[in-house]
Amino acid sequence: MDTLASEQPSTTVPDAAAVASPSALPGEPVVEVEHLTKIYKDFWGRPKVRALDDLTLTIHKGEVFGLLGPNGSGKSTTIKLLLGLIFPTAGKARVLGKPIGDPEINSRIGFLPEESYLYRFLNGEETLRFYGKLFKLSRKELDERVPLLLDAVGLDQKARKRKLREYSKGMARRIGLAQALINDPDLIVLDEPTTGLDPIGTREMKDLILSLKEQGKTVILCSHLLADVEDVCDRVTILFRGKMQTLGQVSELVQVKDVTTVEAPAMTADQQRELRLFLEKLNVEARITHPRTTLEDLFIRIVRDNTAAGQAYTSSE
Amino acid sequence: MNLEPTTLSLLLGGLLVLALLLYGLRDLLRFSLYRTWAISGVVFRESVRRNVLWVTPLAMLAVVLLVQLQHPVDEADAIRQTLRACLLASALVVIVVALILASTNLPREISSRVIFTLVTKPLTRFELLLGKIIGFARLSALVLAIMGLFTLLLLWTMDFALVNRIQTTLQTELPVESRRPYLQYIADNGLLRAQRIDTGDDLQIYAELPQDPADTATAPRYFLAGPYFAAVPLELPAELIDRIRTDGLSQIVVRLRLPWKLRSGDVTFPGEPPLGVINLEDLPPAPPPFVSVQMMNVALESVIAPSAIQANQAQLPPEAGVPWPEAAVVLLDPDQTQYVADQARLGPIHIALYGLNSHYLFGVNGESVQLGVFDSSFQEIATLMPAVADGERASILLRTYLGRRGLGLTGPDEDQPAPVGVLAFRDTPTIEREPEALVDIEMRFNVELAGGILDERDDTLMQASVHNLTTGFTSDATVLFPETGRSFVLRVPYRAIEGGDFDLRLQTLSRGHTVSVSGAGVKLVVDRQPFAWNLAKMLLVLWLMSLLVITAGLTFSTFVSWPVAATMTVFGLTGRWVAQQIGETSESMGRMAAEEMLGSEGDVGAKEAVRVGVDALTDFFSIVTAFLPDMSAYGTAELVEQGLLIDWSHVGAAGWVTLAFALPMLAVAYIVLRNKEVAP
Repeated sequence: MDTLASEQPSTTVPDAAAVASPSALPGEPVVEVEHLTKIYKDFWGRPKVRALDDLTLTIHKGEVFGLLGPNGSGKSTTIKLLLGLIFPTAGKARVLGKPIGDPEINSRIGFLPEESYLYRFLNGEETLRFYGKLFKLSRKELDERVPLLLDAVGLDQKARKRKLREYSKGMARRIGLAQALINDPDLIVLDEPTTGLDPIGTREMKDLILSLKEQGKTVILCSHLLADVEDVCDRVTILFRGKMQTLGQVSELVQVKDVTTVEAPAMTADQQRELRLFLEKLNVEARITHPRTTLEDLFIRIVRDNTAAGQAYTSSE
Repeated sequence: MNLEPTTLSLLLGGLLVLALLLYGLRDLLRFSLYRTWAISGVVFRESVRRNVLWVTPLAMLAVVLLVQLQHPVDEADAIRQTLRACLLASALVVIVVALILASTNLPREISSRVIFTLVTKPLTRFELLLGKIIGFARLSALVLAIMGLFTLLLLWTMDFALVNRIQTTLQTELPVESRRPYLQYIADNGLLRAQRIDTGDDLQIYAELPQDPADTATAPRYFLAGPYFAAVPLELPAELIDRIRTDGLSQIVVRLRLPWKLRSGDVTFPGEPPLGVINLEDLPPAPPPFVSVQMMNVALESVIAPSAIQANQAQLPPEAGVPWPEAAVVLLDPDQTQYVADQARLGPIHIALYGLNSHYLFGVNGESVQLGVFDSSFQEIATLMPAVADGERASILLRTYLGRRGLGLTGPDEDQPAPVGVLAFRDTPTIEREPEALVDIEMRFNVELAGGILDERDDTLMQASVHNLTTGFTSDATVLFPETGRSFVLRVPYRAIEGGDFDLRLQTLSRGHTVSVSGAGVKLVVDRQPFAWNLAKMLLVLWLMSLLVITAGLTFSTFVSWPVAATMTVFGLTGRWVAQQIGETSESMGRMAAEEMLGSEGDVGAKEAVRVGVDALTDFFSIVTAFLPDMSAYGTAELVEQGLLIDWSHVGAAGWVTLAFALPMLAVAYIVLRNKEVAP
């Protein structure tokens, strides 16, 4: 884990203020963090762990923002601070224009915790109704929104009547996501959203995140699964030992600038030979191969091909 | 500006409330009953789905088993014992459930992180806490409703069966005559009762009924020789008490000039028994009448060591009207005087007079006793007479030893008449009826048998009548058959109690029997209400208590782990009672403890240290009790058990204690939780 920073020698730490400048990116700021620091203390008030150290960043409306880092890097601490679950030792932050800790901003936030920390004695439908009531949704609104959300996260009629203690991990993530969206939030905080999901579920989750982005929502994504982050995030920051190591657009950060890729439809052996000769004339030492699909794409294709037409794939299967 | 302590505390209290309101203003303005009710709903549903309610059938089963094991004295006792078991089970179940659920809920939600999904919603910490309290309150209401319904069904079934049996028995010749009136009373009124009763104001035991009960100043009231006694109340002024305490060598002189007379027909004189026709004038002279003086505090507890009492005896002068210098005198030594002064701070002291010769009747009136206080140079610094209130002497108490259920009323001795117990009812509320309509007076006494004189198979007989002070009417004397642990009933015409001022006269008729009589054992039934309604009120009081338990458990659990929170709740709620048990002592506790530990010859410095230490401890416990809830406000189960009506004032008192302690605790819980990092 300690080698994470050294594994990315090509990425440079940009000037956080410059990258996060609202003028440089579209949309109004949704999260503004300034020198946010959290030091955990022991019983006697003596400093024990510096979990987050002087974090400054801004997240804009409509962005999908990734928080990356190994265990203990400060990702969860950042989220807990933004949501008012813990209080900062120093620095300040504003979420949706209000200081953190104000319960009023929670009405515009949806939060999916690392694990679905929900009441296990309620069933799926009751869970959504309960959380909906905390947003003062009327019975009519709940009657409309709850079935839609349960459909959206792929929980069928049978699953939604089962107690949460009988749910698989994947189903628990789905109902957790549904409760995070019950209030149609402007800011959605997702902590390890794909944990426990199968590849189909993972893909659906990623599709959902992109659909939220399309709706103009802001998403903060905290994940270990770098591929997932890469697929959906506009910008990411990498934290290590409580400090921000890098921050920037995903496309820029992962670009390998000293290599050029040329894509073309599948070539015959003769065409490949001629191309190689042409490149030799240009003095370019090239390698010609077929591009590889991801295992995730392969899995999804197989499952979809084998699913009977018209029969949806849902979590209870 | 000078502020009275009360004004100052009100001001400080007001400022504190204002500060609290300002602190929580943001959350108060955002308060939503809809969200709070949602939280309460989930708390209630959680408890139900975790099978908490299973505890109620278990409790019911325990009650049913317990009922099978009981050995009641009679039908009323069977109902009483069953009711007690039901109420105990209900109270136990609801309090234990409330305590465990309330003190474990928050810590469990924090450790399982369910709280993450709650506090990240637009839910204030105040709504969260209140919602949980309401949720548990709903659950305890359900538990109590189930237990109450069970209690009612069980008792109704029992009552139906028992009353039916009694009615059948009454139609036969089976019941002994002594039981018949009471059985008829049950057959008429059932066994489940909720009655408003009046228990009488004062029980006096006379050797013979006073000629003029209204004249408390000069008309003598006669009492028999020990164990009967007369207690004359007397107030010591505060300055005098201080002076006695400062002096240290002061002495009290009790002057006595009691009227006395020979008991009628008393022939048990010492010496040769007279032969032939007895002429009282020819009899040898009786030994002179002697009395013993004992000093008692306001609660009629002796404040003088038994050894000292032996010395406090005096021969009475031949006539009551002698001038004070010729009165009999008892001198209390400086130690006794100090104890008396200590106790006099708590209220009037009582000079208790015991007759020492059984040949006499000893009389007492407001002018029979005088108390002189002498300083260390034996100068009389004060002369006191019984306190005067509203132009009359303070009431003199005619008492006897305390039996298991009150004052022992003995039967006739040889051919001497038995003493008469007079229980005074004054300003008793009565519901107007026809003059000859029967009014019920329920009684429950303890029969104590005098050793070896009687055959235990004999019934104990008493005689009772009611004398109306307003009209002068006296009801016919009715023979009663008291038995230990059993109720019996005296039925008198309404005109005997009309106006509310009347005396119940009681006399034990069986020779050698003693019946313990107390005011609480005599209940004049003033009003009746349905039993179910009374039970509902009792359950409401229990529910109010569970609210306090819930709030305390939840409050403590915001800052300590649940086992500690549960323990703190138990200590917090029982603390006042414990502190009262330890700290319920008189002002002279320190002095008495020092004497007890170090003896009269002990080191003065060490004694003072012990005294100061004990007094400080007593004061500390007194302060502690002021900050803890008075759980006796919830003690209505005993009333239901005794068939007594629960007034709304009882419910109000319980509600007030709940409110007075639950609200500050809720405020504390809110402050703690608002400043608590809920992410572990």
